[in-house]
Amino acid sequence: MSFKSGGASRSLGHALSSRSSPPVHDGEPSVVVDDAQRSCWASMPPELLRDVLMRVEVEESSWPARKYVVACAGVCKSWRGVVKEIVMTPEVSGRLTLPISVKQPGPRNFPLQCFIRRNRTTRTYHLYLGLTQAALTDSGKFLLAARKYRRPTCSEYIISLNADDMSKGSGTYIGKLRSNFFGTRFVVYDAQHPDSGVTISRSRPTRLVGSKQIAPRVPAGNYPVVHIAYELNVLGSRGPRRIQCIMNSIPASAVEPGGTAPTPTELSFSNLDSLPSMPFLGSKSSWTENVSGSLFAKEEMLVLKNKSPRWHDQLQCWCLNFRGRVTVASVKNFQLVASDSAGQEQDMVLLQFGKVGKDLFTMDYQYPISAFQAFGICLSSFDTKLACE
Amino acid sequence: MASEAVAVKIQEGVAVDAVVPAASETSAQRKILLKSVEGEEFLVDELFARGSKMISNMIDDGFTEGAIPLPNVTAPVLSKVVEYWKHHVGKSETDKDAREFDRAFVKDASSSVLFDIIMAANYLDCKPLLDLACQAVADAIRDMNVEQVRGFFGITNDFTPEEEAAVLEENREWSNALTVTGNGQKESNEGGNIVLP
Repeated sequence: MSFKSGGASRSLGHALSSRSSPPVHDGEPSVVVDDAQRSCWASMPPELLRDVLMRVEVEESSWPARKYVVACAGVCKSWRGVVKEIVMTPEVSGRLTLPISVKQPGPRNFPLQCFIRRNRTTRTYHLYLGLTQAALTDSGKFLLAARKYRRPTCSEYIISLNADDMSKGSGTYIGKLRSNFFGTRFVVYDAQHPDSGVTISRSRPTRLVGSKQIAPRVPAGNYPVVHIAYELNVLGSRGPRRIQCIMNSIPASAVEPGGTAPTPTELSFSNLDSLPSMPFLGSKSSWTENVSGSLFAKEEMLVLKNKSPRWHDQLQCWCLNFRGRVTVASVKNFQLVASDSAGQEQDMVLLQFGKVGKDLFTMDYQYPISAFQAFGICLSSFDTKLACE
Repeated sequence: MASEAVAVKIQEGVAVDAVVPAASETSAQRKILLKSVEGEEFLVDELFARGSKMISNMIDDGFTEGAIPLPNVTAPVLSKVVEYWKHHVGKSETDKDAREFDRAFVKDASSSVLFDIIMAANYLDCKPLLDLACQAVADAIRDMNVEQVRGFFGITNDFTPEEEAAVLEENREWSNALTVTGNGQKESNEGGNIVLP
């Protein structure tokens, strides 16, 4: 469909704009004409703009077409505001749209199917959202990239929203994974506080007045959001290792009926070098106590454990049901489930990771975990030296 | 069985191209006078004029004398709206002529014409026309990137430099980086530690 750019009719058109616009009469200076050129569209009533943008959002529901929704969010402030109102979180819609969606919890009732591509030469890892419904997807939309840096006492993976730029000074740095010397313990750091821009609902405890409160601005820094520990199981290296993840930013109540998980709404790009490391979320340092009532005690944090595989006598190996999403046996493969306060495993697999090709791995995640957290946890599986093959 | 009703433009008392309606329908086919912001008058069959809920309500409220003023609608736009009513009011949803008219109606329409029609349809409360015009705009946006959308709609970029940098990043890497895996390669068992279904 072809369109001509607005012509002479534009000046008459202003007569019917419901917002006041400069009158176009004889004797007005030429700057009024420039104002008229600065479009009527920018002053369109929000409900009509919303009607138009909603049509785009509904029709362009999957990638790569979804990029048109992202483009609408980049036109001007008012369009961005409308798009952000219209687009729902992955938890509700099952879709990833704007970059912030990688830091928001996944869908509640089904996993988002992604895959990770490893490049051993450059020591980089790229995360993609699967684009097809096929059991093993063959095309993907880029989400996150990570590069491994070796340090004397640890390894660090810098995580970025840019597929090519994963340097420490990158303006698209959004977090990192750091290992200990032995490769048995890891911490995922988020470059912004997990509650940035979040609206806290009534279900949060105590310190709230009224039904909603915006989280106060918190200092920029690297916030620890996941603590990962690998251990050998009782069979030593002959059996699958045990993985435990403490989700510092997600309460255990998130996986109970009526529970919610923090959902940031604003993404801030930052430069790694300028960020200080923040203390453990939930520790009793002074600044954490001053921040809103969104932090909670360690006992209340969600803990994930890997699902115990079953020994298969006939095949003489440990087995997990990956439902077709993992096709190559590897010690790196795992499924994580929530562990409740009594240490009992829930049934629902919240994060699944496994090998499907030489440098290709699938990653399926769902609520309350975000793509960013899932990616960080999976990266640790690449790194850990425990019971490696 | 709509009669051959024609919207008659009345200029200075001279009726142009007036068609006398069939005698059997004169009593049923009342005409309504609509006046655009410039003062131009349009004589429209009541049936078509009721394509606007706003006008329909006014008629029901007893507005029978004189012209209904539409200060928010210009003559060129009102003329287009009346054309739309002629092709749609009293017709079924799936009428082929109506659909063909719609296609031609929005094809080659400039962004400002679409804007005018959206605003008029909103003011007059004519939902099908509003849907048509909004959909045409959504269809236009579909294939455009950010700069093209701004250019087409004449919108100024009012982001701060930081916001603009984030927008650029969103639309460059984030939106455009796709990949294909060349899947289907399977490796031999790696120690048989964990196996698949």
